[in-house]
Amino acid sequence: MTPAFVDPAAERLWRAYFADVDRIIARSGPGAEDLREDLRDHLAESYSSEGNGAEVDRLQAAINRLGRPADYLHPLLADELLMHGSRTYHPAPIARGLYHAIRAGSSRALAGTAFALGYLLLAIFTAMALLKPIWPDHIGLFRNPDGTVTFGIVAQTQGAQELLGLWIMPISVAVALLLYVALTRWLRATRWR
Amino acid sequence: MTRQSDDSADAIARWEVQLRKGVLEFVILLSLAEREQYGFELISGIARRATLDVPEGTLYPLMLRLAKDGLIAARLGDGDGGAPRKYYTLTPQGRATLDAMRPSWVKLSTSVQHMIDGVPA
Repeated sequence: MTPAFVDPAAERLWRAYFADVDRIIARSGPGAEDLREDLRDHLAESYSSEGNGAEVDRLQAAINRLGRPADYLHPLLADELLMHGSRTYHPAPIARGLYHAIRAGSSRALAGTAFALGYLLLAIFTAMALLKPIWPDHIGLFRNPDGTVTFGIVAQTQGAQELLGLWIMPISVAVALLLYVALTRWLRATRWR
Repeated sequence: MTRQSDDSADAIARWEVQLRKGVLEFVILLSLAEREQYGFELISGIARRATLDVPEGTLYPLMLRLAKDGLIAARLGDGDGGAPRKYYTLTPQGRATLDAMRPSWVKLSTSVQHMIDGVPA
């Protein structure tokens, strides 16, 4: 339900608000359309209840009461996507959920950032397994000439002795898998609400 | 001094936000226990009666979650101007959940009130 505005400024304000809603809830899965319709109906009713006055002022007052989409939609999407992703072990909703958790602010942002760093570590292990055949001399576990040991993707390996060889690939894959399962289970157990 | 009082006001504001968020689901279920209501009616009613001072938009995601959990249900009905309205109602599961929540709330609010009043345990 969209009110029939006479004032083009009110029409623009309405469109801008729902463009913002659409941008945030895009690809958020089933329920997004319902939520959009609920918000449209609510804003239309709220606008009608404003009584007399300029259309744009009445609409702005209704929008002020409803709130900025970013303020109330990011926490919702973080909850929904992380719940779905951690149940199905699907990385796409987990990544999108973490993005919304970070955007939601406060404790969610902190937890979201911590999990994002965990998944970044996982991505590094995966990259090590995939890139080892391409850069065999720069990925692995190295003992340096001074006796120190370096692990990971290493720029300078001159004179260093590689200790694991191609074993780094299955080891990295195994660590990445363990991290994925552990992080995702932990994510599921975390209360985001 | 001013900085300290600003920090204190911020801390209280953050605490109030968390407190309100915590009771929103309970308040939605309580409102729907009275009768079936459409979205705007329910939410503006809650905002007015419960003086929760939260953006009304905050309540829709909660209602979506309550519906997913099977605690409330929605149906399309007639609106004032002919356009259909979505009416929300409490499901039997929602009523049972609310019945279980009430004593918890009473127990919590009573014990906190006793502490405020300085009543010994």
